[in-house]
Amino acid sequence: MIEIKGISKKYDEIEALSDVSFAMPEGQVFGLVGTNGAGKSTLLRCICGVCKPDAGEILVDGEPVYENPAVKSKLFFISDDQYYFPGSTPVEMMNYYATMYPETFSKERFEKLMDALSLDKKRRINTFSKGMKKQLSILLGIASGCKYILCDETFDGLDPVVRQAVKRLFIHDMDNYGITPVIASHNLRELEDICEYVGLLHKGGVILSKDLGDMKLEIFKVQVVFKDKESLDAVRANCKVISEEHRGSLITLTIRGLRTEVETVITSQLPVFYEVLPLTLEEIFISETEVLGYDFAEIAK
Amino acid sequence: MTSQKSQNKITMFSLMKEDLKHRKWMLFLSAFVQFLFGPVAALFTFSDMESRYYYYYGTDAGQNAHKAIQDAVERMTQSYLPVMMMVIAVVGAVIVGVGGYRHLFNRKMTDMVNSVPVTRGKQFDSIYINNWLIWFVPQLASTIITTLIILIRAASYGFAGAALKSAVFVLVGSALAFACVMNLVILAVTLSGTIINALLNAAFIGFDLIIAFTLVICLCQSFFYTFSDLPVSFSDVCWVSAPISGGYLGATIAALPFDEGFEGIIYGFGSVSSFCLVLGLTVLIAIANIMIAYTLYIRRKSEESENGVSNKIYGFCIRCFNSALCGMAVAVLIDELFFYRRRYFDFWLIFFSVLFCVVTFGIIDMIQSRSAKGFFKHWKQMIAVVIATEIIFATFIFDLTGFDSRIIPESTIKSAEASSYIYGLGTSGSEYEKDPEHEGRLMETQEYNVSFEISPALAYRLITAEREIWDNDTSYLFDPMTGRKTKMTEDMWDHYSVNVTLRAERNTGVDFVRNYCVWDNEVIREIMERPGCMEKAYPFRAGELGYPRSIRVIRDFGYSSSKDIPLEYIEKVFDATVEDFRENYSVDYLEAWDSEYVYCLECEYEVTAPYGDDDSYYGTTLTMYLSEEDLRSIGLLDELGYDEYKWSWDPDQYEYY
Repeated sequence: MIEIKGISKKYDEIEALSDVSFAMPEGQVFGLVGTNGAGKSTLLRCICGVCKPDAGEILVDGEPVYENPAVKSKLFFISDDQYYFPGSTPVEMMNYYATMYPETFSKERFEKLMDALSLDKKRRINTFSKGMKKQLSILLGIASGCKYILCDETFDGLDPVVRQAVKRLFIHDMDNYGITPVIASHNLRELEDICEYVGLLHKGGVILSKDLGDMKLEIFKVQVVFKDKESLDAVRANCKVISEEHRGSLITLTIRGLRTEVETVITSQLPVFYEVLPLTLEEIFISETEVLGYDFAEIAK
Repeated sequence: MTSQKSQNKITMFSLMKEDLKHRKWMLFLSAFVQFLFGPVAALFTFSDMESRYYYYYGTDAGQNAHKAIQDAVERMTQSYLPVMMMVIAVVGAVIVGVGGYRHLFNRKMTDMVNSVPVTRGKQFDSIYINNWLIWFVPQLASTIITTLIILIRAASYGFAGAALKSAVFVLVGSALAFACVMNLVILAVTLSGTIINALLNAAFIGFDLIIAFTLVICLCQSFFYTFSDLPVSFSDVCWVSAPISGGYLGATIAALPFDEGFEGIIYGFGSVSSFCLVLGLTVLIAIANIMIAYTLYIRRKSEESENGVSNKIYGFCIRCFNSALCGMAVAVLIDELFFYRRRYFDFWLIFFSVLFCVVTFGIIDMIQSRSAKGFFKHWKQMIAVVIATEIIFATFIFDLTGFDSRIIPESTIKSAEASSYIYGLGTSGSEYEKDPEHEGRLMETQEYNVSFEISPALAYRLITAEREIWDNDTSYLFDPMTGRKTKMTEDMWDHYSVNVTLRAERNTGVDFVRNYCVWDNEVIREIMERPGCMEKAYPFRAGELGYPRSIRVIRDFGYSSSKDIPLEYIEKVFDATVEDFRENYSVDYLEAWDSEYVYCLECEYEVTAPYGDDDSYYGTTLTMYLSEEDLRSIGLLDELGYDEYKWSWDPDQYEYY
């Protein structure tokens, strides 16, 4: 498990992370979502020991990570723009990482995956497309055999087929090798069908960190038509309404709380019509950030 | 999945191997350069020397084979190898120092390097060892092959020892130079986020101390009339400056066995102990540099890559120090080049110092912030630096410290020594006068500098004499801008003066050193009439110069005319002149020398040349003036027909030039 305890990180005057605390359970795909500049990349760089937090600590399986090779050997960081040595080939990069992860790196697996994705092992990487470079970095990470694979915007630039293939690879390795992928992204739709646990970052802080399933059980979108305004007031008073939108008589409410409790409150007002809909991860994210002042409606004006 | 054991398997060797894979080009470059300037150059030198000897001696070339081989070996071991290997070591040190830690200039690469399970310390060590290997292995191979070539070609002529000694000393010397420069560059790299900043930092750490020292000397010489010398010598500063001491010391060591013994090569250090001290100091600085670099490296934040400078305080120091230096240096240089040291306040001095201070600050800021908009990024600092620079500049221009006017009480003077050239004897060839290596050959010019102890009372008179004239004599120009008097009056040039350097040891133990231009004849007389002073000042009186090989009589009629004295009369004329000098000598007499002379005698001596073949000569000239009081000399010249001073001017009798 990766435990993040009150870490803060500043770049000059910019506060990238501010007292961030949460845990990433192992054996699950952890989605790290957040607005642009929320601190996702910084957090990943801190987790893998590239950056040292200004305050707080990060424990991986109970041990601090910074300058701790034993712990770092359990982590593989796939940057959003991975570095490759100038003029190098995939085989050379494979050898580099094989040297750095001597115990766990599997050259056979790497070569097999390269073949599966039709990537030329001996071609210079600087002739690869952006997507191919991304695939290569993922394959290097998977072949490293590390317990924790930290992916920064990994799915960006991948075609749909490869995206699905990568997701399957992660799931396969979770099942067979117990890896824990940590995927940072702002593409929430991509994460929704793979992530089991999600941490929401916003302006350097954590909004929430929960199991995605639980999260979806605690927040709902309700489309309702009331007979009168008092009914809406009653719902507002008895439920935790995060947002509401009016289109004629149709009111769309985003409400936090257990589904049964919410339905009880709404039905008690005898609505003309109501329907409870699950929120997508993107909607949850938008709702939560709106609460914190990230007003999308205002931005659009 | 992984354990502590797995990390242990990443050995230093595997890290070095991996690092070397990506720096093969450096290894190849190093090997190529060493091969080219080692074995290939050795073969070329032998071949070239033989060709020359065949050209000169034709069929007799075989008889001169020994000389040809000797020349080739000397060229290789005494000059070429020590210098070239040092250049390669220094350039190589910069390349591997910057190239080895190049990931510090690239954020993506830093992320990769720092994310792998290797400690920063181990990464640093593996790169550092590789840096040494990249340079040293080709260097060692090249030295061995070069030595073998020299041995094969020259051993039978008895040069085996020279070749072997050269190999050892070149290796040691270049290793020292390499270590000094590389450690310094690595230190600069760890303080930087880009290559250009790394090089800027290296130059700053390595050379700014020397540049600052040189500038202080220039400013003192430009604006202080009584400035003599700083208590710290230029070479002292060079020695404590790592790259210069490293490179120079390395070359010294490499050339050690071939000069005139150990004592000969280290004359610049004064003694063997000084040499060892400097050597030890240089090594200590090199070690300190790499230890600081190591500490900075392991503490360095990843995000500092691609930033201009990783340390804000250090960046601030570089901006301020360099801009202040550059502002003053350019102003003084322009003043020197275009205005010939005006030595007083001038608008252009201030203008150029402000301009170049601002420009330098802005450019460095642009480099450090990696943006053209960075020119005025720290504009408040820029203004502060400009003000500080002008205040420093003003302390020299206006002598705010009172350096020139300082008078120390006589009671505080414990002992004093005055040294002077007493009178400009007009000798040429003085460029060799401070060359102790050739002391025996050109000691004549050295002897003109007279140094002797003087009483505290006389020292005090020296200090106050000029001041009194300044305060009382209205012939001095008063500069309303500076509030200082200047000596630039035509009248003063006609007055006989003596430049005296005073070194007074004070009761506090601190030396008071000043250079005074003494105009007061009483003071001059008191100095000159000290026992032994004249013999030192005018060595020809004691016959120390020997007799000249030629004497030319020069008379100035508006046009200069000259005639050579016949060889058989040279000795007589010279003796007569010396006798007249002894008899008539006085300060008044000397004053008349260059203003009311009748004849000028240019006595040419030929002394053995310090360089070149033994049978060549180097000429030096002694100029003496004859007044009407010099009866013996004038009478003798009359006898020889040099009596034109009595006549009206007849240009047909004289040569012109």
